Amino acid sequence: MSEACAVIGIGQAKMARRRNLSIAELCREAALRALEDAGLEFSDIDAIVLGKTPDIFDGLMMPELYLADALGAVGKPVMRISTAGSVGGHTVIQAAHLVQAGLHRRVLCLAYAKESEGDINWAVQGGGIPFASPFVAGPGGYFALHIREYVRRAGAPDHIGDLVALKDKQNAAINPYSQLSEGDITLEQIQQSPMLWDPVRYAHTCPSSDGACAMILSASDAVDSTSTRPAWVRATAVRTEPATAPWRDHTNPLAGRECARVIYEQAGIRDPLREIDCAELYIPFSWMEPMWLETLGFAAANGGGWRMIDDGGTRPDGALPVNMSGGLMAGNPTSSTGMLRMAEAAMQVRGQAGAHQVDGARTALGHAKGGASSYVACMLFDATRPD
Amino acid sequence: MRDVAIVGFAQHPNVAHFPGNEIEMLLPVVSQAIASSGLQRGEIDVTTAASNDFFAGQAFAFVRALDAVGAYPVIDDSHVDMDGAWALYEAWVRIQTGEVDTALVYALGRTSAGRLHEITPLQYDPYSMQMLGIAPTDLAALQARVLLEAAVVDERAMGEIVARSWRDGVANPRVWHEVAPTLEEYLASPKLRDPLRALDCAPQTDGAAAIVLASAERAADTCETPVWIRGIDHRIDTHYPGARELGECPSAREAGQRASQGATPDFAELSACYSHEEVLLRRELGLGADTVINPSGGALTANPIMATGLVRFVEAAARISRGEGTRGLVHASSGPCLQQNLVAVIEGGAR
Amino acid sequence: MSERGAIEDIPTIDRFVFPARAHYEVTAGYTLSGALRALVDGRFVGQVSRESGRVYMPPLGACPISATATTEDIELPNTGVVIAFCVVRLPVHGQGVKLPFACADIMLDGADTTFLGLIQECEVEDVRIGMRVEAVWKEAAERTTSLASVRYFRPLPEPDVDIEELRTGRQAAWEENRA
Repeated sequence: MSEACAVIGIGQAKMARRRNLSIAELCREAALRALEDAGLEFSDIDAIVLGKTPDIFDGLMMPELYLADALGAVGKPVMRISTAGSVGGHTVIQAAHLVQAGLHRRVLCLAYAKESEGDINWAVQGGGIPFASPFVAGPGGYFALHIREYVRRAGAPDHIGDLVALKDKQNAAINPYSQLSEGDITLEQIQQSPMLWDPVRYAHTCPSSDGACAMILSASDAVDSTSTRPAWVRATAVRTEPATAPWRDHTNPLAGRECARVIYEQAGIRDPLREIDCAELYIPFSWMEPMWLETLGFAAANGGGWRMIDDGGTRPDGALPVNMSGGLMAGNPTSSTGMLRMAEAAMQVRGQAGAHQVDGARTALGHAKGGASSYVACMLFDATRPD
Repeated sequence: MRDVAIVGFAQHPNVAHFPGNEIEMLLPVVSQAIASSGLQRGEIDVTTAASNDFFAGQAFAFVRALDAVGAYPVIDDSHVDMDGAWALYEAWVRIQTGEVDTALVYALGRTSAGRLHEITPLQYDPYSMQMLGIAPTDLAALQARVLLEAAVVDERAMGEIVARSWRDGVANPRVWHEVAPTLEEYLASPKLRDPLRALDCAPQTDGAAAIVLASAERAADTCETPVWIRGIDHRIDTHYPGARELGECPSAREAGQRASQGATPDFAELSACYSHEEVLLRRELGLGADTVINPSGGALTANPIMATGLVRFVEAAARISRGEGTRGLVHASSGPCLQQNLVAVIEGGAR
Repeated sequence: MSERGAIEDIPTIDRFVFPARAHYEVTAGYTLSGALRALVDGRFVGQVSRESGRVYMPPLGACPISATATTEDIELPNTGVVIAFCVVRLPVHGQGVKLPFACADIMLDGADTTFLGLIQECEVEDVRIGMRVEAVWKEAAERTTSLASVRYFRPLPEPDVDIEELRTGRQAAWEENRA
């Protein structure tokens, strides 16, 4: 029943504070690049899927209504996905579903954030809500709790968060869309950066960005008519768990473990570390890389993740290059952040990643997560068409 | 296309203000919809939801709502910041991929925590429209004026729509109003945004709805009277009322043609939140005198924004289940002056 | 007349301020209201799910395990365990606490869920996962229907709890009850 589906166009907007652009202009920057990449025009697109979470971040409600004109959507079906931080991943997967269901031949999906237009710290606090915390810990407060629990369980040494930050900052420096360019930062500078939420230092955190990402998904019969190399969608999955469930494991979340299990099962992957060439993960704080390596089955639970990092296993020349684009260290335009992970994974198998291309990448994992790590989306892309 | 059926449904009574919290509102509706489907909670493959944080006044309010749907230990789930009708579309698409067979769809339309005239305008172009201080009713009044000037509708016809809708709404146990205004009372009432009177506009409403969908194979096992989705489509028009011919609604027309394939429904549930919108939609959807319009009272008497369209699905499925109708057209809308429209045709009887 | 210019010559407007105001009246709900009123009295009240047997603090109105409403209140003690914590050293607008401070996920004794609490009366370096703590309440006149009625949590002079053991213990008791 399910039709084969491939990514045939990818476009990104430069991540930065883009005050001189409207939301529509920012989105078009990414959309037009994706169309150019695919050799298509807006008129070739059958349907649009927009991803954005949450609207309150920039104060624009249901932006699909205002963006219909800028995205060439008039007269077409427009969906608007809104799951937590993972929304960029959910959005590409929804676009894939439209193709896989045989409903549309070419679907444009896009996610954006214009964080410079709102006050995010205000928006996430949710003041006045019953049982809200009476004090403000800041955006890292929640995650630092569970990072510390990981450190305890796994016996991780202090420098692991520093190593990941160093790798991702070096990777980001060769990503032309990156907001930050700190390629010559040293491990010592990272270790001397201010402690914000023990054990999370300033240099372990990602910036707040404006940005947009667009991808064009195509049915197999429409792939052949384009000249670009496709990234075939080999597996997709989303999983969600209740954030406040009793005794929930926040450190190694079930939604993440299940999402990984499902895509590996779909793709027939038994040993993800050997069978996947590179992975682009949603890591807002460098300390979360070892946690997610374990959750996604690349390393043994309770310590395999940090040991893999300590051995250089996630560096560009390691066994599993992780966050070749620099990941969130390159920029964190919420909503597009998740789609950028999928885009980077697809770019790798298309051989399109430029300076951060992993040699010979054939199979790549994209991962997005959100909420209290309770929303997870994963996609597996392949250079060859799945059977 | 796989045949997909509505096998369970429920809605919260539409009220002016629900005094509990969102979870307390959603939980019984979701439970009731699942119970009516004959499926167990664990047999639901996918959940799709609709709500909007702006109405709760809190970022990520939809995350808390998951507690109500029994997301433990883990579910395959998505959420749209659109009317619940689009969440239903998303679930329908999922079943079309062949990956899954059953889906739970729910929509939360609890708007009474805020004030609509402060919140809804936040959906307009932030650079050229929001600062004008226009509210949805202002834009609806422009459209009503265009229709009146073109003699597509007159004051009396709008009044008749209002009187009929309220008569039906009062008879609907799911709508809280007790007294229906008459045509004479309508004509005597003052204008709020000329040419619109208060009675031309849907009241602020709290409500919620849930639907369970199943593929034909699963529907046959679980449900004695499945209601089939024969066609479903949605389209969008330009955002800018000034760039549109306001007397027309091409997105509704196209969605209607694609969804109905020429079949004439014996009744229609339209998300017309203003009386004149019904007239425009009837014309664009080709609904004639042999189609009963909004037998539930329609969105004009109960409009829990974000759930309004899904409530139309529930009302239509319920009518078919009760044997009062065979083929229903369901319509949902979003944006200023009916910018975005979804149309489905649902039918009782054999697969 | 004037010379012709290009569109790039028009200066862009990089910023204009358009504050949006919206007023809300948030409803705590039937389930949460009892718990919030108890805070005024300086007491913790959670809810127990009849179906799953799990104890929710704070109560949310539903048990995600059984997807049923929680309707039974349960009085909880002033004492609990630190399940996770971090030390906040970053000033954030609206914080109102002297930096650095320890912010902890606290599970009250007898509960199965946690909420965020402030740890005081000890050095931040001395806060530990598994540490026993007790709530210090504000004076009666200062207490409201908010968690802010708890001034903070402070360490108890008791041995640390192994949270894996606590988890398995609660799980065993729960399964025994169900059987």
